[in-house]
Amino acid sequence: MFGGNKAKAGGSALERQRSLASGFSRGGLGVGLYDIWRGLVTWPVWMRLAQQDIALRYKRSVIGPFWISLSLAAMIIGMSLLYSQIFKTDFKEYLVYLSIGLLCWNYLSVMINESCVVLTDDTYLRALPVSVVGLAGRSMMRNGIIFAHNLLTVLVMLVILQAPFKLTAFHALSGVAVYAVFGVLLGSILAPICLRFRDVAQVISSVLGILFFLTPIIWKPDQVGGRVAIVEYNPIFHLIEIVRAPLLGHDVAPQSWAFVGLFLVVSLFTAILVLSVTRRRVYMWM
Amino acid sequence: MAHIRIQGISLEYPIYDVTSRSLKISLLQQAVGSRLAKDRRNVRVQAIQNLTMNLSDGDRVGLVGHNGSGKSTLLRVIAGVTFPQLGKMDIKGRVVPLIERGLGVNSELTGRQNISLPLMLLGATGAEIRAAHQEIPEWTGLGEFIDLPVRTYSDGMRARLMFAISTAIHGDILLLDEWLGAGDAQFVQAASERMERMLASAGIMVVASHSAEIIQKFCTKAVWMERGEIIAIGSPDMVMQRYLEGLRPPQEEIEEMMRAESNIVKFKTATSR
Repeated sequence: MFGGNKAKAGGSALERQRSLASGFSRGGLGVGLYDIWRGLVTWPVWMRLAQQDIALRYKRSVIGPFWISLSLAAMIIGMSLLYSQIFKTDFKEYLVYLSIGLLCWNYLSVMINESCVVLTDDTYLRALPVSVVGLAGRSMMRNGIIFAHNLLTVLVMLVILQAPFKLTAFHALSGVAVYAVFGVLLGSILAPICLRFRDVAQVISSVLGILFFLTPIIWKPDQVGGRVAIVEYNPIFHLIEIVRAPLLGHDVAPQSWAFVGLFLVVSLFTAILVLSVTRRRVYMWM
Repeated sequence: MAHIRIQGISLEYPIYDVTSRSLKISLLQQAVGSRLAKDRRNVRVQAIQNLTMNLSDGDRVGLVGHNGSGKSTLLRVIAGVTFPQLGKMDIKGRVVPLIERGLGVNSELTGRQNISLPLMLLGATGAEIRAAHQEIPEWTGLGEFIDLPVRTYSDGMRARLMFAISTAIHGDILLLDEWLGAGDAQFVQAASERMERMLASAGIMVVASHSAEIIQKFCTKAVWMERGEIIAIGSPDMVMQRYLEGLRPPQEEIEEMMRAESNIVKFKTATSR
């Protein structure tokens, strides 16, 4: 299946004995790239897996994934009532800002957390040559479907509130595309690492807990005096901005796009590196 | 033309304890160095040792051996699930690894809904999946149950469904960890016909089994593995007899058997492609 594979790499005594410089350059990179390629060609499989995940999770509820959307809506309304008072801003304007921010944060944070368990919770890789990228794609699609439901709920809320609508809103679609790519890369990077080192997932989830407050979601950057370091160098902020700004009727700041672009390129190379180093050993870590 | 060329592969598994699974402790050990390092146990299990196996169309190989002898690992290596650290491999043909039973079958979904995913995971084409949807409901004889969740099935019904799904795909190289059984007695006849049809279309079959009957009936060669090495190879009758006696053949006899089967177990240079 991993056609004509030449066995090499691995961190064992056996391998060191044979060639010290093996691993990444010989065979490893090939296997890493092969995994990515397999992940891309087998997209119908992970689409199906994701769809089935959602169908099973909400099997016995009539409104299905909208349960999550409803609880998100309730949270948005509750928080807006409170924080528009605390910040002394207009309720409606604040609600629009918060709802889009939370929508994006929900996707990104759940995506990051679930990326950590893509392989630790997996049953397929033990017996089938499925690709790690494909499994990351499954996790991305599952969260993408939930994101779509949440987006619909938020849009309905905005229509009810008669929030101003501009055509720039459609620019958010390119942001959504970035979310899809980012989700797959993230899974490909974090899943093998969290499989090998089981404590990484906990670290990541506590860092996320802090990031929620450090990222402008419930507050606005100008409330802390504009673009300070925790805003400027916060990848989550830029990732949120590329979807939030168009939906609020603003243009996305060029530095946000620059940062996101750089971030994606770095993620891509990290994913290739991680897969090349880990792919041969993933089964042994399960 | 399918072939499996495994040339001198070795594979060892690291056994991790709780501490080596922790990044914090691993980093600490790196930093503190040798003082702590001796506490760290680095246990490894040798699953396959310098194994060579060349198979081509028509070969039906039965693997026997005690638990932990490396049979399943060998199947996983051929399937591309796990990778040897040493050696060369060249596998040509479509591999269908039926290593874990019922993989991809979800008991909350109906029998019909469960047909596609396992086949997709095995790499079936759209046409094969459509064909499976046509013939599986009828062949299994599940009647109305085909549209009920699998959790409502009896063990026999479940086994029949899984058997039908697993045998709905054609492969050049068929890997079986334990024989696929179809459950209740009245189905044995239909099942063995279906199984033989699947075997006939496969170029190569490798089955790991504890059953002498199955290996003697379906295989052309048997291989006895212990500790990741071949310790007997030859006709199913001869190997099974030795295996059931339970005595490891003396080294000269192993070498003699290896010589007799040199087309299978001899290391071939890459030029022989």
